[in-house]
Amino acid sequence: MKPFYLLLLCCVFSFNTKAQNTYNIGTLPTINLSKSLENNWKINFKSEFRQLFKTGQFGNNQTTNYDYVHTDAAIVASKKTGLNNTIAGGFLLRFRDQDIVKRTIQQFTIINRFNAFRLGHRFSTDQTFASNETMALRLRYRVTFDIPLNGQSVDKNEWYLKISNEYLNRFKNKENYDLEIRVLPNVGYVFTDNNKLEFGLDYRINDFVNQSTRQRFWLAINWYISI
Amino acid sequence: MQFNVFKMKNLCVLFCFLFLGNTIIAQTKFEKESRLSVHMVPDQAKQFVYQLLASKQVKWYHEIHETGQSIEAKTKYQNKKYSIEFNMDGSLQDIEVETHKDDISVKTYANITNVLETKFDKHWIKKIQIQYIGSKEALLTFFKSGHPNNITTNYEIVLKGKTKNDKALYEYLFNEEGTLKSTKTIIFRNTDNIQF
Repeated sequence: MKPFYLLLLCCVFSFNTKAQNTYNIGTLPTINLSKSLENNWKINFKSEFRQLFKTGQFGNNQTTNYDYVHTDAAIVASKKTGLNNTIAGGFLLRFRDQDIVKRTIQQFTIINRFNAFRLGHRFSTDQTFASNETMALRLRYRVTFDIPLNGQSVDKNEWYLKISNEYLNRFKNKENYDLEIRVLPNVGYVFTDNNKLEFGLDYRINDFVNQSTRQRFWLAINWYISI
Repeated sequence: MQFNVFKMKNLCVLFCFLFLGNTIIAQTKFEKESRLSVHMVPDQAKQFVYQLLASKQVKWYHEIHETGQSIEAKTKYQNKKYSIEFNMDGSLQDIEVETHKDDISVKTYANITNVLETKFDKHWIKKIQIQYIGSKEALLTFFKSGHPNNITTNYEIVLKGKTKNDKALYEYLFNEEGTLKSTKTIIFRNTDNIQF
């Protein structure tokens, strides 16, 4: 994995030297509320509140206007299909300006548990429908690693480190393809096993295949509650 | 911007509602394991581990269970994983050594397999530990010379079991002959923060 991150770092700096490379800085708080149901079913509600504080081009003046970008509300139903596997499907509504974007979501997750850490693989697809736009299809893969900062398991009142790396392939029309890469180093705190708070960086880079790189730096705050 | 102000206000209300609600709802089993500095470990526990194994890389843990507390030493010695559990005063509880099914006698393993086949449609063994219980002197003699005097040997097996209706992870404890002593279902930690 080390060479990959070095490569990513090189890419980020090489893109910075070119014109038309933009950046966004903002916050991305989310709430995740889950309810376990019978027969290994679970229902999850997720809401995200995206706010932008700075935007601009590398090497040029920055604009600092605050902008409330959008609110997401998603409902996902999941079913545990094995000890480590879960399939899920759901629907998302994105409230952006006066528009409401709709998205359908399908995902398959594998979680491997090791002595001192967990490794999760998430394969997902989603289809986004916005007003007056053709449907956008995304194929996503995310790997997540979480490890306790004390002891061998993440227990109540303890901290943990969670690092995610995601690749999103976006297809829109026939000739419109984009790859987005996300790296999310987060630190989490366990109030109880069903109540966790995480915060850290949500770094996203995309459009580099089209030579107009966009980099986004979000301060992520994620609250996971299970009832 | 009118819409934005509305959203921010709702956000605050939602956060407060969920937080207050959750303090009432959340109830989980109390179990905690944390690293323990070697200076905090009772001398008799340290001495025993150093007498037993020449390994210098011992990690110490403090465990709090519903039934009490314990101190655990974990180390790898001669390619085997050791877990040595003590009471808080440093007196020994047991020694567990990770092992392979080939190290269990054929007769005992056949008995274990019989039990598992009656319990499950299918099962997969994930981990086997031999558990040794006895006095410090008896265990030291056993590990140095291989003579098992006054030692109780059990097999602790972590396995994935499949029945008609369910799949789960279990911890089964067998005695030296392969007779079932106890079973536990292993409850997984919440995975929402990896899944969603």
